[in-house]
Amino acid sequence: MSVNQRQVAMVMDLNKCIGCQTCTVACKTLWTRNEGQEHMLFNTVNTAPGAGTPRNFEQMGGGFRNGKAQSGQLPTMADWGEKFELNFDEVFYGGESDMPLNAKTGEPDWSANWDEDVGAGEYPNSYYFYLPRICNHCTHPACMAACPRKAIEKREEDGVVLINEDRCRGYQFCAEACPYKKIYFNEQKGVSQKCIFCFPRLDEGVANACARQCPGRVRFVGYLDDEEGPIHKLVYKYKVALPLHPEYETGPNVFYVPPLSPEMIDDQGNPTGQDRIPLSYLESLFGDGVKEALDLLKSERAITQTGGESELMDLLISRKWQDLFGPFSKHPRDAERLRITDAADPIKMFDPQLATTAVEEETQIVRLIDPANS
Amino acid sequence: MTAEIKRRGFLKMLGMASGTLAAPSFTTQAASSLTSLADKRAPAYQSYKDLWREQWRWDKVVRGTHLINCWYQAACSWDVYVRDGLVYREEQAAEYPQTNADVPDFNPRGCQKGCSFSQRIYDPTRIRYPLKRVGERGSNQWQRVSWDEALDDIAEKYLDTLLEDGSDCVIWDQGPGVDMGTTSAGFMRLANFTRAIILDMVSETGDSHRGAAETIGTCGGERSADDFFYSDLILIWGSNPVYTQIPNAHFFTEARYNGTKIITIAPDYNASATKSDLWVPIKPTTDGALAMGICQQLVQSGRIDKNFLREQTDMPLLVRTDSGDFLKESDVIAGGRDHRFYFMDDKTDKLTLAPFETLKLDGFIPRLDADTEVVLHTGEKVRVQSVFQQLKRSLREYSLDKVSKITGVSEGMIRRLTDEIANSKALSNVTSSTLTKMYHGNLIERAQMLVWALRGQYGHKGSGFSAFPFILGDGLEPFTATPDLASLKELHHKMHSIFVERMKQGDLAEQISYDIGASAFYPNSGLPFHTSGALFWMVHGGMTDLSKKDWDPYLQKDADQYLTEALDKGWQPLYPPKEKTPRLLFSISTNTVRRLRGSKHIVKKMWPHLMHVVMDFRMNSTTRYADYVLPSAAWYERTSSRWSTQLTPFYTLTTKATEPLGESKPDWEICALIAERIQQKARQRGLTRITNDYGEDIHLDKVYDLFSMGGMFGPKDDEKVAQALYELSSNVEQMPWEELKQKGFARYTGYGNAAFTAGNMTDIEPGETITQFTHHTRDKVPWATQTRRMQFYLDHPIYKEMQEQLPCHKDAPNVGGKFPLVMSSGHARESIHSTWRDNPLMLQLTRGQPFLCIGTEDAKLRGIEDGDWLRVYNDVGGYEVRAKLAPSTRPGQVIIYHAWEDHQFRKGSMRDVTPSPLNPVELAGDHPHLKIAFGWGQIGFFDRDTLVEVERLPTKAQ
Repeated sequence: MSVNQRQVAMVMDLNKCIGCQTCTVACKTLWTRNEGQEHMLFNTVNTAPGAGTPRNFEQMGGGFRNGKAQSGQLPTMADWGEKFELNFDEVFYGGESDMPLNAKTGEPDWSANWDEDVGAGEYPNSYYFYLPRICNHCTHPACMAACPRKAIEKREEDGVVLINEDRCRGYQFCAEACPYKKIYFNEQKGVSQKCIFCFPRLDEGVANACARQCPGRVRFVGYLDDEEGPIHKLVYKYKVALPLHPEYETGPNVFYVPPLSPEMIDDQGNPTGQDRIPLSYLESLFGDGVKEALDLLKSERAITQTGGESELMDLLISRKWQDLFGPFSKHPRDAERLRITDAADPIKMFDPQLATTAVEEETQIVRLIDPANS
Repeated sequence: MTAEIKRRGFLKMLGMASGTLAAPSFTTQAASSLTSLADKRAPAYQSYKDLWREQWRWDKVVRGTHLINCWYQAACSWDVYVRDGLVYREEQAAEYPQTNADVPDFNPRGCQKGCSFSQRIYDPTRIRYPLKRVGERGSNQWQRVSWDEALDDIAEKYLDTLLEDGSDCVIWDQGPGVDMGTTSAGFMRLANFTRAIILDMVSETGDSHRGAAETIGTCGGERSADDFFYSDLILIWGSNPVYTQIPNAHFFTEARYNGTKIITIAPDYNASATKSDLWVPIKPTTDGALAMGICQQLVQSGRIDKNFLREQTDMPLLVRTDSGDFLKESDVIAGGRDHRFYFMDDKTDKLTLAPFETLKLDGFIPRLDADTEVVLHTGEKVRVQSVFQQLKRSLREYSLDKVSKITGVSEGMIRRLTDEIANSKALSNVTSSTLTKMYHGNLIERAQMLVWALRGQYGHKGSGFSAFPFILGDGLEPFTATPDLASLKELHHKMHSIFVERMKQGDLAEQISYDIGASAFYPNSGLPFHTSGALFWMVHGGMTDLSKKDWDPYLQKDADQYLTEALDKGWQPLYPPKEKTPRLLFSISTNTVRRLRGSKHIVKKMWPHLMHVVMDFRMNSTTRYADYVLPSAAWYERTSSRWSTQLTPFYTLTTKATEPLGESKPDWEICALIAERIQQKARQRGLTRITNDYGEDIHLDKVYDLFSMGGMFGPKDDEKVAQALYELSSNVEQMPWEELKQKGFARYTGYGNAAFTAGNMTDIEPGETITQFTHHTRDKVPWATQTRRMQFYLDHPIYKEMQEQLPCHKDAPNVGGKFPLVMSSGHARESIHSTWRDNPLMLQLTRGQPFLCIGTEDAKLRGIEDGDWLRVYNDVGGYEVRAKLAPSTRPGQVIIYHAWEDHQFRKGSMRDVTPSPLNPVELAGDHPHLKIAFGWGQIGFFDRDTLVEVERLPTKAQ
């Protein structure tokens, strides 16, 4: 087991996550588009409370308790949710009217996002939020400890946990041991596969695809020990970013800003001033620090509400998007190895004089609507 | 590129050729060019890491975007990564500048749909060859034909229709896929020079925001998304931006950290409600009552902005109590004008003509609660009251307990909401077109705008009620209208003189813009010839057959009778008129049959008489009914610009990244080829000029010459067209074309000369967020309404007949019959209309099938469990769908999200229960500010207040 010098980490702000799955798709189209990977989603976003991906992963064991490895289950294909094989050819070209689109494998009864927006509670006090997940690139990876082939490595330079496919023989002990159930099996290649934290991008100074492509601006990427960076401040200084299921004892390096929620409504339909997501539920996910984190978010927000300054709020807002990515803010185009070479000389096709005259006349017309001139 | 080859198992191949590095398979059936890949790149294999690294490699990157009406979320600039001649992925360019240091920047913009368009264009729905129907219509029997054969047939039919039936029997239906770029330029020029009819589909999609048009004379108006940062209260009311404004959502979540409060008003605890401080659950369709209740609270407690009401609104204007009409100058003075109105001046206590050229009051203090008697020039005395006085009276109907009963919102909640609104210094709304897709959506919107007006929440940073966001480069309109570039100047001069002449007579520039746009709905305008899409389908598709009079207790007559009377009086122009039969229909960038409410009825009635040509890149609900399917190039396979909205004020470009797949062609090229073929055939037949029913000349032997500006813009010149549209646009930051292609976007510098956007009445300044309507509030330019003020009172006869002079709440009619559940809807998270609906990846990330959300209680009552098959029905029809049990769905409501394709339902389709009844007030086209315009002043389509019942089906039943 190598000891890494630095640890790269991610903070995901659940108050900004909108469950749009752009991260999932960004990851999917980049990393798991090949045969054997159809069902794989290194990045998932699920509605919480909910079954998650794979289905009921929190009941599947793994991880450690008091330092001792816990046995775990291997998720089945049904738990992951298959990619539906659909009868498009029959529908469009089969020569029969009203042929419906069907999954060839039978009627769908689960998918990786089956319980989207379902959540828990009863109307009008139902509640839910989105929980995006990748491999946690743990400090004490259960997968790594469980691999008899020593095929799992933690990179020395940044602590990214990778499955060495040259060594992996597909025993899947890692998948059993991972308490977050983020390891898939590639039947085509006979190896286990999981989130690689976009290491080829990181190596070029470019942030992870899930982070850089996130329109909700949810994800911070950076080194945990960078005291000036937002991750260090959110995790250690303000303690508003918390690990998921710290009780698994793997030391996750993905941290979550817990979600605020709209007020509960009483029997008469009046707002109560109470958060609608039960604190106990959030604590079951993110541990004891939730209350303090939420209280701090609220008190800092009260400051901005009255026009005051708050470093914490500014960090979470990140007016400049690039600030989310610290040392990984290079544009992917600048990392490209095969460049476009055909940029031609700028040519103006139309007589600019013609356009300008016309435009000026029109502009004058618009200005005429100033009543002072009319 | 054309051969269909089997998926290659590259990884298997890798196993065989160990020691070499193979590229991944790109999922596509069309990837023939990939076969030589393994040979081309064969660096020595060092470790598994190289395999991962190899996946993040590309040959070139091209800036692109998606030419789709995702409306609020438009203007996403993407890097399109090309590898071996195919697009293998895309990633946001994310180079938008920050407007200023106060506000977040726009990056990275994009969503999961945009991010998977590379998957969409190679999935099994993609059309690669021209197809001709060979079986019964709808039977899915096709023959692959050559372009030559298809063009021949289509051009013959086009020519025959022009000659035998008239040019107005050729119809171009555009849809939400329309780009206002090269596609629009292509079909609009072809339609223009053949005087074919183009359907304006804005109101037909239920997007026309009629309530706004009734109040301010335009449905347009929106802020930039970063202007939300200056709001202290954002009301998400009738919208679900977490689904439908994905790239903008961060402005809301970040504004919250900045201290802004967010309140969501919606029947269901939707995804946007989860991001709010307060969610107000409301009974569907009763939002108007809630708004009126808030107004009553505000007025009663005196928390209103009187100066704003006096200056900007019709509140002080006097209404005759005998007729219900505004008191006009012509009532008081013999020979006076019909369009000058009065208020009582508090200072002099005199009847005073309201200023008309400006909103400036010049020392007058218009009395808000006037109630007095005036002597008419006939000597008759009449009692007059200010609009505000009448409003106050009608607001008494909206007491807390009554509103609470109607809306299901508690009195305490209404009070709280009112307080939050009253305490807000900068109040904004997040708009979409949910409420406008309700039968009384106009009333709801009028009532909402009244809340904003009472608080004076217009025209300052972070404020404003938004209705219809839209902005485009103003190069398109002249480009589609002129036979050549040289006559552009002539066109500008013509427009200039119209403006000068009419403004001398005191007309507003804004009104003149609308009138010029409206002229396109009549013959001989010199502009592409338009007709209202909604009216077209309503009349020619016989949609009134689907509705019943007794659904709406306010109806005095059958809908058909209202319609006939309105057409007879000329309130609404319709081309072709009712007596004629449309013969040739083009669906371009649109899924016509999927889009139209009640489409089965329409198809049955109209399609037997039609040749239907569909131009699209994917098979869909509409291609099923087509005679010809022409394969369009996808958005990465051609060059075009697109419209966007001021929410993200950037003109965005897509640049051809790869060759069109198979035999597909850019829309511009297809239109050019049709034009060329018509001209060729006309010449063969010795045809020259013909004149249509309306005296318009059509030069059959010159259709292509005109289309292409004498060959300047040929079939292969779509990039040149895109460049022309850009360079002709006066309202977009200019840079050399090649630079724009590299950059992918340019900021708008103003609203320009496009008729549709004139109503924003504001400036776009560098370093400033956009706040709408500042020309009214700051510069005191009048609003483009009958009274030249924000107008809450309408004295049109049909509004009087329907008792809708003032904003009010009306119970929704029993659309579909008396059934216990409101079937509402909303645009989906995972698709833009139907464009991604059956994309395998999007289906993998949902449930693979259409589903209907139903609340726990309603499901229990009916013995329904999650995943059960249901039949949804009413008096109009029925369909089958699976149940999704969602505790956040309101009791009494079921939700089916938008735009599932017909072929995704095993029986029926979601539109089989939506008759979209006609609301007669929308016919009032003779009203000074409700006459037809691009996008509004037309009837609308409604489906969000349809009533249904659902029943559980035995699990395996078909």
